[in-house]
Amino acid sequence: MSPIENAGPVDAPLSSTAAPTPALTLVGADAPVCVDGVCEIPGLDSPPVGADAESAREVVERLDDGIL
Amino acid sequence: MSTTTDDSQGTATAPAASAASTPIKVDIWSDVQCPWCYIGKRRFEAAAAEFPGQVEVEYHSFELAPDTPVDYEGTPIDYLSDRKGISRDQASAMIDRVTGIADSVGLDYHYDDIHQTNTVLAHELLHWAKSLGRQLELKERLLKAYFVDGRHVGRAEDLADLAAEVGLDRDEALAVLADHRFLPAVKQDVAQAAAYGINGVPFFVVEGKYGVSGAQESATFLQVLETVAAEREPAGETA
Repeated sequence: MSPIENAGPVDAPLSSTAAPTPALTLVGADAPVCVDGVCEIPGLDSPPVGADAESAREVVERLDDGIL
Repeated sequence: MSTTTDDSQGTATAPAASAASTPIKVDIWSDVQCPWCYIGKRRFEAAAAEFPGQVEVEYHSFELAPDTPVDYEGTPIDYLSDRKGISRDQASAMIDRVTGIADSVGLDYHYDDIHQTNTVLAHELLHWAKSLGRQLELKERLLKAYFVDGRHVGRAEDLADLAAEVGLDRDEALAVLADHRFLPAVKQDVAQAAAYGINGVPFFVVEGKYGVSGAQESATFLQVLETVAAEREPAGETA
């Protein structure tokens, strides 16, 4: 049996607002990651194209606007 | 004196259970059409298999390409070239590299068969599965469908088929996708990612305090799990 369990069933949120988030302690070296539709290996592939946390906020705004 | 019980639907833990027997919570931001997310998933699973404790996973939505139409006509190379300004040769090399690394963790990516699409409905469906305690099964099915099986993961009918393949109700899947009742949950996840400062996936948040970005090696994931377990020890069975 896999040691990984599903999180318990949860209801859909009534709000799309983010909950308070503590600062995270980042662990690990640079690793392959996908940013803004581009999936790269740091140091091998091209740098990601202009994505930052702001892009995630833009997605929320566009969802709110019914664009997506 | 743990009374923790395992079953196929999740983990039930008695209030008196020790900190050591409480599953370590891992929140993972991920997209269905993210090749490193599937590879990272395999590497994380390998770490969890080696870790002696229990791990509870909750997937969260992150849309890598929310402006992609559901029925995008091009190939992944077309997408990277036309929309991201990457040369076709470089895009091809990137895909070759990720395909090779996928193979190293037992994943047989078929990029020639991939249907690039919009994944917002897939994320809504994953939230529905989570509400039923079945998210992990559906997440695995959707990733395999996209990268290995060449299935479409953007259309409601195709998604409902995939839901049915993991034992979920097809008609109910279509109903939740039609009324978008889980769209607020998708938006909340995207907002939460922004609040954490997450700008790429996969991204793992372990026990709400450690952040791990990207498809790290299994040893890194194992190290974080062991760190969390060690930090719990002073508050263990002696209480």
